[in-house]
Amino acid sequence: MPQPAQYRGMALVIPDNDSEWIEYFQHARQHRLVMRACPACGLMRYPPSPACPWCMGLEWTWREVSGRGTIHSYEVVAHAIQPGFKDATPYVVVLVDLDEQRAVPTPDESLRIIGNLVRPDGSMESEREVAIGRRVRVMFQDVVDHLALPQFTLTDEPPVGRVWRLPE
Amino acid sequence: MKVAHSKHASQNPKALLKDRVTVQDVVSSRWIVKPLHLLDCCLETDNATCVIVTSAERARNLRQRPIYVMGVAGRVSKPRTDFHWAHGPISRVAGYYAKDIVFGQAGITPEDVDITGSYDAFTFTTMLQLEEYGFCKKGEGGDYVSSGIIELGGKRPNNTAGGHLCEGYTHGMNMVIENVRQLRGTADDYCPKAADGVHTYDYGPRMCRQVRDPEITMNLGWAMPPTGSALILRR
Repeated sequence: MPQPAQYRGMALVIPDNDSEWIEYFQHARQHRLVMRACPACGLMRYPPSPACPWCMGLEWTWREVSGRGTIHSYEVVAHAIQPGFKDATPYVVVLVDLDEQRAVPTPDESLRIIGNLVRPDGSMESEREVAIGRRVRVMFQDVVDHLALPQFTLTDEPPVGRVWRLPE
Repeated sequence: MKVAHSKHASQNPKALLKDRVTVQDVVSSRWIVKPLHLLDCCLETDNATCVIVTSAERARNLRQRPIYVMGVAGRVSKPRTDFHWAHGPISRVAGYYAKDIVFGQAGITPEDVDITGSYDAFTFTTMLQLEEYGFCKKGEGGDYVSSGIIELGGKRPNNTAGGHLCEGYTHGMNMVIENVRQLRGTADDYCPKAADGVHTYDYGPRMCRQVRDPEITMNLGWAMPPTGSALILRR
């Protein structure tokens, strides 16, 4: 994989021996969101770890998911650490319950993924729009020819479960 | 949390931030990452602590009064350590898993603890731990902290030297040595005869921070939300 890619003035490097992430981002470049699924217990996991966190199985297959989900939690970054994000503050980081494995295998557990909350054009979404329970879908931010970042954007679907946001 | 720890730091000559703050000071400080304000975040400092652990038999012949370990739980983890936000309730932290180990070893309950020392990289880290270890119910940490229980003069003060929020950051170890000082009665506060172990128990600014005759202390250590350690000590 050609290295590194430039993103917000930072060099993004996926090490050659990091087979999990190389494959994950190769799919992302094709605008496919894929999860590792365990053939033994059938559960998907994120990040794409070598072992199944539920049954410890060491096998996996890649499984494409819809990228639709619900905001489980979020934070708003006001003080950016990386210089490349300073002009984007305040920006929102969301933790998303993906629809394919929500409240599975227990009510408190889900297939969860982290991303920035962005507008369809890729710019950072306003913090006024975010709330726990709001619906999102994945969108792929093309960085260079060989790399795209999965991010999330709000949809018009009705929220799911309890809706909450930090009071102003 | 920050208000309580700032009061304690005002009694600690070695604390970096000795000024007491108000709730208004905290919530009007600038945002870092919502929901955390600047004053919800700990100090970044370079400092050091040292703990000497030996057998009770050897300790009896040493110059300092020995303090005994009643229970210890090291590096207890929630399942899926690094990705704990995918496993179990997101607000559940390592103490949920460590509490039965450490209280079981010590043969005591939270009610028996006189002083707590909890990792406070952020205000919320202490709150979640006080809940998980059973000092209050889950979700009632705010009321527990606001009641004054955790302040000097309260029933079970927490981080009596000011903690990471005000004293300095040493990965939870400064709270271990503070609890040892408290059990020995040797808190190095502003009391005129503190060096002789004589304390006024006046918890005003720049005064005393020694708790009166504590018998049992507990440390609630935190590496990450899903990984932590706990230590119960007695005099």
